[in-house]
Amino acid sequence: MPPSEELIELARRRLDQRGSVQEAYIRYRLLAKQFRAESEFDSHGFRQALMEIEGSDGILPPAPPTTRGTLGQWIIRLEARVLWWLVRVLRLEGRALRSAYATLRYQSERLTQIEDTMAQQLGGVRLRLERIERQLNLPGKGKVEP
Amino acid sequence: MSRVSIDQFSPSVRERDAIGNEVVALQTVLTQLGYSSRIFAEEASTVAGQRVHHWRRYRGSTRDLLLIHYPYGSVANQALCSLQQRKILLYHAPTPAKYLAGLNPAMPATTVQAVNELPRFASSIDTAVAHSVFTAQDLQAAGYRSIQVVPYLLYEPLYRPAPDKEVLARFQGDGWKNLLAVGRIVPNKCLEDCLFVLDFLKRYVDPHWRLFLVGSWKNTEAYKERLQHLAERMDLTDIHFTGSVPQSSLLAYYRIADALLFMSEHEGFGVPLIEAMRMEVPVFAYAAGSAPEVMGDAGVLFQTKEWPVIAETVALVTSDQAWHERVLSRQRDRVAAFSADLIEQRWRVLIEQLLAGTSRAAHAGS
Repeated sequence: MPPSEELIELARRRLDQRGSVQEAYIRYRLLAKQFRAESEFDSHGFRQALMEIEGSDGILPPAPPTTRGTLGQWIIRLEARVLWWLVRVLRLEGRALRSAYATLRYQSERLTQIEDTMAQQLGGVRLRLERIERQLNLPGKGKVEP
Repeated sequence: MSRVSIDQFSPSVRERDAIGNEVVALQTVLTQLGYSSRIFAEEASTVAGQRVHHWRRYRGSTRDLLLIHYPYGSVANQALCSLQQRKILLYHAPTPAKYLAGLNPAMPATTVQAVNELPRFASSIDTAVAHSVFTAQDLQAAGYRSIQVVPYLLYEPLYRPAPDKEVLARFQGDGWKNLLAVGRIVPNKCLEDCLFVLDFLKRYVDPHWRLFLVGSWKNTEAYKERLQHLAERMDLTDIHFTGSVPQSSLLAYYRIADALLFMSEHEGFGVPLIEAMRMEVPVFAYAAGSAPEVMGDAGVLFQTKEWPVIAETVALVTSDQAWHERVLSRQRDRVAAFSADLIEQRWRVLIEQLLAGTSRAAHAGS
C-alpha cells in the first residue's frame, strides 16, 4: 500500500475513535455547498465593484507625490467644485449602489440562515425516523433518503 | 558574427510571482549558455535587477529564438507569433474562467481570450512547452504537434536569503502549530477547504492550530471577503491573511510551518509543493490538476475532500515522529527530480535541438 494510503487509512481509524465527527462532516459539507453557491450568485461582481469604488480616493485620480501630481489633483479638485451638481449626482449614485448591495447581502444572509435551520430540522427528523424504525424493528423499511 | 539571441516575452513580469521568477531563472540559464537574452513585457520595468523592455521594442533576426510565456491573453501574442524567427510557447495553463466568476470582470475575460486564441498560434509555434502532462493536454487539444513537458524552473537565488527575523520572532516556538497555504487568494485554490481543516483541528485535536494564507488578493478582494465571512460564520479564529510578502518572509513562513495544505482544483504546476518539499515541510495536497504528477509518491495525496480525514492525517504526521520522518524522507527524494540542474539540462537540449533545426533549414534554403 503506498504511504499516502496507509497514512490516510490510519487517520480514518483514529477518526472513528473520536465522537461527533459525522456532525462536523455534515456541517462542513453544507457550508462548502453554500460557499460555492455564493460564488455563482451575481452579487459578487457588484461587491467587487463597490470595493474598488470605496478603495479609490473619491473623484480624484491617483497621482504620484510630485509637484506635477499635486498640481494635477488641485486642478481636478477645482473642476469638481465648479461641477458641484454633477459630483453630487455621482456620490448619490454610489450611495444608492451601496444601499442596494446592503439589502442584497441581508437577503442572502437570511436565505443562508433559513437553509441552515432547514438542514438542522431535516437532520433531526431523520434521526427521529431512524429511532422509530429501530423501535419498530423494521430496519431499512420506509427509510427516507436525504 | 553576433551571438544568437534567445529573448523572452511574458505579458507581465513581476517580482513575487511564479512566472516572473521563472522568466528571470530562464534568462540566467540562457546567459550562462552563451546566448544573448532580453526580457519583454506589456509594460517596461525592472525585475530582480533585470531590465524588462516594452514588447514593441523587440527586434530579432531569423537566427534568433523567441520564448513566449502564455499565462493569459495578451495584445502582443498575435504580433509576436507572426514573426519569422523560431518560437517556443511556454504554456502556463490559464485558470479556467468558471473559477473567476464574480471577481474582477477583466480576469475571466483574459482567460477566455487565452483559451480561445491558443489554437490560432499552433501553426506558427515550433515547440510548445508545458510544465506538466496535465497542462500538455490543453496544448494537444489546441492542435500543437511538437509538445515537450519541462517542469517549472525554480530561481535558485530566491532560496538563499535568511528567513525574515520579524516573522520568526513573532510566530516561531510560541507553542502554536502552523498550517500554511501559499499562493494567490483565488477561488481555484479552494482556500475554504483549508478553513474546514483548521476548524476540525482546533475543535477536535488542539485549539492551538492557526492558518497562514500567504498570497496576494489583488483583483480577488471579493473572494477574500467571502473567506473572511465564512470564518465568521464558523466562529473560526487564528487565520492570518499575510498578503503578498517578500521572499525572506515567505521563507520564514515555510520555516515555521508544520504542514502545507494544497487544496487547489486547477494548477498548472504548483510551485509551493516543490518549495515546501525543499523547506522540509510535510505536504498535504488534493489530487487534482498537476498535483499528483508533481507529488509522485511523496507527501500525502487525498483523492477526496473529506476535511476531517485531512485534518486527522495532518495531526497524525505532525505528532508522530516516525511518520513525520517517513513523509519528509520521501519528499527529499522527490524534490531531487526537480533540481535546477536537471531542468536546465532539459532546456539546453530543447534549445539546441531547435537551433540545429534552424541551421538545417537555412542550409536547405541556401
